[in-house]
Amino acid sequence: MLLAALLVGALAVARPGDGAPDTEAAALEEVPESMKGLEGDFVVEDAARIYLRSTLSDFINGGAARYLGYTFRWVAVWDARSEDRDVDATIELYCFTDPTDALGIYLSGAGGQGEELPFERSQVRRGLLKAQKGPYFIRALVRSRGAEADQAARALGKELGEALPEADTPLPPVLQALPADDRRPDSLRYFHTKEALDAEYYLGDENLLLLGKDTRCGLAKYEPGEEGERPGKLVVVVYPDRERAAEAAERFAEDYLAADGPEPGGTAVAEIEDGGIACITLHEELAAVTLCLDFADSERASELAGSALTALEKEMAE
Amino acid sequence: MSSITRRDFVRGTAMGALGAVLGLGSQRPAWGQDPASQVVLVRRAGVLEADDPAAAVREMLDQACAALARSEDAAAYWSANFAEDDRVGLKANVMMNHARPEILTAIHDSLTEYVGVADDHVAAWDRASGGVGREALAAGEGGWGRGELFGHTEGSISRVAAEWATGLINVPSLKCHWLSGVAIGLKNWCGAVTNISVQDGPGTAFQFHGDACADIGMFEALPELGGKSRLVVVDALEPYYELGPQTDPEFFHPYGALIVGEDPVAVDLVGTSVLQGIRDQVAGEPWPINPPPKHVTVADTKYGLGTSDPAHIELLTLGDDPEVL
Repeated sequence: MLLAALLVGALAVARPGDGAPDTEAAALEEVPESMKGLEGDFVVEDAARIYLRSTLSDFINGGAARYLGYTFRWVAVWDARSEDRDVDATIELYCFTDPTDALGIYLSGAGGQGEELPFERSQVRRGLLKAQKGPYFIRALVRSRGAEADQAARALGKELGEALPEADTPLPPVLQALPADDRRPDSLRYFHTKEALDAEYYLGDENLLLLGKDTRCGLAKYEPGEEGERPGKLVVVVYPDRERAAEAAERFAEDYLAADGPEPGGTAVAEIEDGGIACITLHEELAAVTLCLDFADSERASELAGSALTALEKEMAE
Repeated sequence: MSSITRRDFVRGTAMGALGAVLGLGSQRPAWGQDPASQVVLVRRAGVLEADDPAAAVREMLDQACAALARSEDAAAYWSANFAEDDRVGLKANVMMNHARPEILTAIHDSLTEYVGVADDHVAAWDRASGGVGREALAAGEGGWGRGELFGHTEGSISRVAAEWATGLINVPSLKCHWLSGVAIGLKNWCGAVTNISVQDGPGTAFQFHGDACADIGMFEALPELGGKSRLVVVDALEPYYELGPQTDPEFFHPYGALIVGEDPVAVDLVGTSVLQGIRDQVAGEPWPINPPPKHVTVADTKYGLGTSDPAHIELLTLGDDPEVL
């Protein structure tokens, strides 16, 4: 019961949209002063263009849905120029209520600690900087080609990283719980909604796992045992309450696995027509399930699921 | 629509052949056993590095259109499908990966040279911006402007399509999409309407984002859009094979192809197959497009806009080895 109580307490956090500014002026006040007017290698002259939850789709169309599934507050967009390098860049600074959500967006398209830049995590590839620091996710594209583009993006990243306040955003428990052995580099994902899971692994039309903005999901891929096999996927989902976790486990078991729902601490498993094993395990006490997909054998799947739940217990207790 | 799971795609019991196209089941698509539609895929590897990419793209378009007309001569296609007094709107794409000016000018030049359409009777646009005539098309979106012609009707449809054009050509780029699986021709019409929102809230003119945008065929079904569209020319020169929602230069693949056809559903299915092949090739293992682009099948089964059955699609491949098919 103690674990369950801890879990409920840990989930009493902001939900998408909670308290997000509803005017551009209010959002602009939240932009760190140090970001307003870079004056180093890159210079920003014009004021930021601000997009809110209600206007984000004006900026990135249907892509807005991905951000709106997290605690996105606003994005500030600047055009920047380096005269010395003779290159232009676009800077996008996304702010989230929950720093873990900035991490989630970062992980969805980038990986690793990456560059030696003043962020918590950063990556530069073909002139595109992606970085996360506290509640901020940065995406900055330098419009140039070749090695020069990456060098310019790193220079811009240094300026931007130094302009943001220091932060420490640890991996959330659902990511900490995913065993590291045989885990593919850069395969970690953190999200909340069915739409985000669909983009990683489509299970079906229906929201079988009862995901929503109040659920926390971690996903990773694991190296297959033999060449030619698909990588296994392990998903950990934490719910706001025990009843929903149990209902999700039952629904997935019945509608996807064609099996009975698992008892607390139990697992429902099925062999899928493509030869892979899928299973769902309901934690004995926590409001959490693990899902294994595309594993070649059930033994390995249940071993990973068990390890993840044990680790989750430990993470939640801490 | 009844509930569908991944297992239905694996079994091949949902959405026709879509599971096979995505490599989810054991079966693979068998093209053209009983053809009703033709789709041409013309590929020239390295076209973007050619000395004159615009000339190379024009040659590719000529090849594709000649094949569609079952003729040695591309002019046969154009003169049979367009008239000298036509006003032709090219629905380009400026989101994620842009339809290239070289393709827009190749279409423009085909219309003006083979049919005699006037230079100022060819316009290209996306959303609320566009340009008229070759100079504007060659300049790309940077040379476009706004204005009344590129505004919208009271019904929230692009005025250039609804009121100005007598015929349309759909010119999407080939890409995967976070919300709809793929974004090719059927989805390209989203930029020909306004008053839409990803949240599909009350008061929006068109609500289609639910269920992985399954109902996006509603745009092709509009008389002002699909009703006027005569051809789809997909820019598959450098497809975007990751899901986005925003582009990362890492995930463009120099495929070097055009996909051309008159059946918008068949063209999207072929495009989906190409994207799936690129993903599998790059990953070195099956990497299914997520979510499955159900809108391609729904455009056939619900809206009757074309065929999503590979058996009914004659796939004509020209030029270099299509590889990923």
